[in-house]
Amino acid sequence: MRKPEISLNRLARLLWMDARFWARPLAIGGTALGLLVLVFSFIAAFSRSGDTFHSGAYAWIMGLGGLIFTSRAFLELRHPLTTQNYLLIPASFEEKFIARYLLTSVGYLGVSYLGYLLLQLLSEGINQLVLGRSNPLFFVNNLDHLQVMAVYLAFQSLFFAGAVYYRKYSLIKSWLSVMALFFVLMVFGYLVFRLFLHGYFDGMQANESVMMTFARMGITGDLTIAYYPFKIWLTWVGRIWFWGVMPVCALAFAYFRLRETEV
Amino acid sequence: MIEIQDITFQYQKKPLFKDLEMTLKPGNLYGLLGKNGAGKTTLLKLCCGLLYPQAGRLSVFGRTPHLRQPAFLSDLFLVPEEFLLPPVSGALYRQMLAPLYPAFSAERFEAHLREFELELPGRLDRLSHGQKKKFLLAFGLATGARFLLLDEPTNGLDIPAKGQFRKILASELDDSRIILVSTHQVRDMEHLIDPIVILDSGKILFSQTLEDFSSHYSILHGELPDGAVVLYEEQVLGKSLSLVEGELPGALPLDLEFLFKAVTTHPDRFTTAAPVDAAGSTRKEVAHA
Repeated sequence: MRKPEISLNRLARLLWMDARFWARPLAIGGTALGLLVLVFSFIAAFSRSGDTFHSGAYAWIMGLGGLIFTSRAFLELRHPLTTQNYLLIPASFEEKFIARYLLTSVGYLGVSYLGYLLLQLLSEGINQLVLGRSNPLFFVNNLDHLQVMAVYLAFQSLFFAGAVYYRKYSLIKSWLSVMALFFVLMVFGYLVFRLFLHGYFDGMQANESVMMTFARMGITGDLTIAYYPFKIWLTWVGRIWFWGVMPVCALAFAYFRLRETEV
Repeated sequence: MIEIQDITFQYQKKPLFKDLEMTLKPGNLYGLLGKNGAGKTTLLKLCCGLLYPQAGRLSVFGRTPHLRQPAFLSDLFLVPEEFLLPPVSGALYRQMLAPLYPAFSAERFEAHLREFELELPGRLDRLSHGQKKKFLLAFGLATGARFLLLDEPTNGLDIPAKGQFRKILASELDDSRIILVSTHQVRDMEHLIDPIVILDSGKILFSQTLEDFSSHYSILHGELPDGAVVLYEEQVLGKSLSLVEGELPGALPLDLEFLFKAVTTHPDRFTTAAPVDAAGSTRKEVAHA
């Protein structure tokens, strides 16, 4: 066993190295996307249908762009010759792991948001000059926006694990794995209902005996009130799983997988 | 010091090393010779933590390679036989990686590049294989790492560069460093590597310093003295070239290719029988055929 080793100096250097390495591909991808945004923003302003254009466009750039970027986070591990370069960089597993995670999670969010702020200003400036009107600007200025970003971060952890695990086609394989995971959870939930709560349901509806029980208890009208404690319980289980168990397990898996990588 | 004790390693179901033992001491430039598939590259990868041994103990300057601790990695540099350099300029590569090697010397790096007649290049991935190798060798030797592993370092180098490389390598060896060169281009490394380790099918067949070799064996061309114990011979220019036991007058300088053929043809005559000595070599007892 060994103790984790983290040096801020080395971590900063790794972040800088990764940022330098990714700067060019991100700039090329960003420019291409930027041109698309300019064109579609112009069309939206022209057709007066762009009320939510920028919030929608940024959601795509953040979500899909972020997942594509995350899936390519460990590009070196796709080839033995680049894997050996990466593994022999004089830094600890923890530093290498944290550097890549920060870059693909909050790093990507921050850079993409700042980039998009500038892009929408440019886009709407052009629209204003040419068309004399513009689409509303999008700012992250309320809790809902932050919550969407947080959902992205939780979800992104699965793709981060996929980037370490799958050496090739990690985006599509990660996506399929996520689908499979949710399918398994759905089947599991269904089995729990069928095996342990089957006596209370007739399909998705409470069965007659439950209804009668409620009626005897004086609960009439909206029966969902009777399910309320169960709903709260289920919501909390879901929250703990989504915000805690899922990202922590995914990141732990990615970390240990990275540690055991050989060439 | 590098200590390899009872290392066992296998790929899938193909065993390679079983109870391998070896000790490498600082101040030596070890030549690791072997046929294709003998396990040379695997041994180098085990030493730098790219592969994990399945059993046994491996220690490099007191550290365990497979933990890949930063202090271990900054004291080691591997120049692989095949490698890819990132799509960045030479200057950026140095700027990014040199600070992670505390003993890196920019002066030595530039001196090595000058010796190789190579300027600090533009995009590294666009260089020819030979130029990439020169760049990586210059960088690796300038890191100041105490453990240098060079896998077929002369492959891809042109004729002048091979000479330049030998000159640089000789200048880089000091008492604190262990340089392990794996090669089958023995002519390129002759007069430079000492001790010599010959590996075959995952076993060390031979491991001696040149001094040990010349005090235990002689290479003779032509007539042999009475009672000479011949370990291996072949016909060269109509006369027999023989490797005989003992230090005999008129012995020729060591020919690595000849020694390699002798050891790999009759490994039983070079059986390892004694523990490792101070120079890191293993004394042999000749089992007479």
